[in-house]
Amino acid sequence: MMPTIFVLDVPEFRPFIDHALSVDGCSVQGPRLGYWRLARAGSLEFTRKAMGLKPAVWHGALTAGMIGRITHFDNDRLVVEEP
Amino acid sequence: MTNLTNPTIPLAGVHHTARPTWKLAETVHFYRDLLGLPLVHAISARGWGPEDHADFLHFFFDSGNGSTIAFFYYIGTTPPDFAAVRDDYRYRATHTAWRVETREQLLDCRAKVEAAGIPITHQIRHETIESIYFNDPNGYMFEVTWQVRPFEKADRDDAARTLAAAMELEKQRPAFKHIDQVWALKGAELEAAFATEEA
Repeated sequence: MMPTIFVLDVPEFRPFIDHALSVDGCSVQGPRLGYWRLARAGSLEFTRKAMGLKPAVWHGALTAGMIGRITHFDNDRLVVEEP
Repeated sequence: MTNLTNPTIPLAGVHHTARPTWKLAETVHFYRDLLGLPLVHAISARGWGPEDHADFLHFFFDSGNGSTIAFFYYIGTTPPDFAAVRDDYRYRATHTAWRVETREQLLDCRAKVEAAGIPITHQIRHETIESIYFNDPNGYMFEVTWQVRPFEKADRDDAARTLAAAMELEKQRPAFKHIDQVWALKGAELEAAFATEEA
């Protein structure tokens, strides 16, 4: 199972979609049921400052749900890998 | 996703919030003179109800749109331990956020509060609101906020999914230890829902 995250389809989470669209091999599906679905073989990686996100949204990055294993999550970098 | 068995109660916003104070003059000065919120009502009374109820003052400052900020001052008493202000996020969880309508009003508020000599402790952009924070003389946190966008259907549906997952996990306490468990449960459910929707 590829690491997968769901992202709520609202403006403050839009940087996750824009980032995913720019990443090689990242599947972006949606919006469906109010969510986007991002999946990528190997790992999904996000960087807060590069995405211009404030800490409050960043620390709730996975609030919509995820499939996989969080291998890194600090104030600036989030990595989700295969379960 | 809601399952209301009773009709919605007809609330129309805030009438008043109320907290105790043991600093009468400082509180009046702060709210009336520094923040400029008019003192609109005060009652002074003999203690009644419980036998040990102190004589008291109950007074109200206008906080806009029909709302008021109220205090109780219990004459001749000292604060009980449970009313002591604590420097702890769980204590600050109990607070009130006062609304302004625009970001310009929030920044105007910040400027006026600072001009009155009150330090702003934080200005934070949350998911759907942006807030400034400062403390009153009692140590109570005062938040002023503006809502950046209205809540949408996606917010409501997602809130229902989040709380359903968390309430399911709450039943499994003490095994419910990390938010990751909520994310995993929601993720599994959404994966199935996505597949069904696609089919």
